[in-house]
Amino acid sequence: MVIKILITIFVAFAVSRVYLRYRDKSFGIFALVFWSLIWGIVLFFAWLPRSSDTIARVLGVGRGVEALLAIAVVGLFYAVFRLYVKLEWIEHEITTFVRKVALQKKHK
Amino acid sequence: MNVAVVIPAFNEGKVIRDVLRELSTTGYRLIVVDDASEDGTAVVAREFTSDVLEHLINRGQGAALKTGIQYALQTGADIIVTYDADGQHRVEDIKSLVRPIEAGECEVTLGSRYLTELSTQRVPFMRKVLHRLAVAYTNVTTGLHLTDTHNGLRAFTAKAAQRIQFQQDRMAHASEILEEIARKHITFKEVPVTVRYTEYSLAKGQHVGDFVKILFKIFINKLK
Repeated sequence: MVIKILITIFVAFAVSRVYLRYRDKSFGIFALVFWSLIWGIVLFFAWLPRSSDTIARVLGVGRGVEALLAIAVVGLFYAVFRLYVKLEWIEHEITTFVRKVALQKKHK
Repeated sequence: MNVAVVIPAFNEGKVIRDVLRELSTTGYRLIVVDDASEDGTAVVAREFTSDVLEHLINRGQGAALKTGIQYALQTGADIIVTYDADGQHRVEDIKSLVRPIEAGECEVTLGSRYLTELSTQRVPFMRKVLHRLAVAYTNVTTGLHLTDTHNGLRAFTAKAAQRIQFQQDRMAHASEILEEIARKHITFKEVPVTVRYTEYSLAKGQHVGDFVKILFKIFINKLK
């Protein structure tokens, strides 16, 4: 029961952060719905853990918890990959800016 | 023909004076891109050329090279040579790279340390192993038949330099340039060059970890 309450508090905190980011326009409506859905699913399985057994049967893995873990690992891997791509893009933008400054300074 | 030699440099204060003094004897235009050095590399470079560009923050050799190439193109270069600042190249090899381009034989020349037995013997064993692996990987993925892949000594026509669009800021740019040459069917020729391995250039050069990083970068880039 304690873990369920802890997860609920954590989810409430996470959703509030998502909403705040939506309100200050850092997140669009898609990101708000997507992350709310993800945290909603976490809350759902926290309170009804046995329902994950159905997913486990569909995926062909042993128990519900294992299915959730497998999905979580894949999800995390994808999230890290997206972060890496984003980071690369930011690095690229910085380089473009540094190059622009170097060239402008030379042409002055 | 207007030949510009682009020299990306990061903290090369110890050797850049000798490198630029040697290069000055060629009569080619020298473009130094100081990649935010903290040892006065740019100050030394200005003694030899007025074409010194400065990155505000360190962005890597590939990024510095691209800045230098863009500047060379903007200032009317017909042929662009890339040259490392750590003293590993010989100025006499530049002529060998420029000649086939001037003769219209190809659009790009790539320096290769493995085309002559004499130069092969100077490559440290571990480097040779890493280079062989890099060559095998590049040849398989690009379909090119190369003997050397990470040699900083190359020459391009202005048109080829415009067509080759590399995005990698750090060491992986060398592989990306070759991929671009293959993808865009740019004519090229490998030219024998000699690499001078000194304690300094060996310490500055690539190590096993760098090759792993380069492979990882290339792999991730393909996933994007």
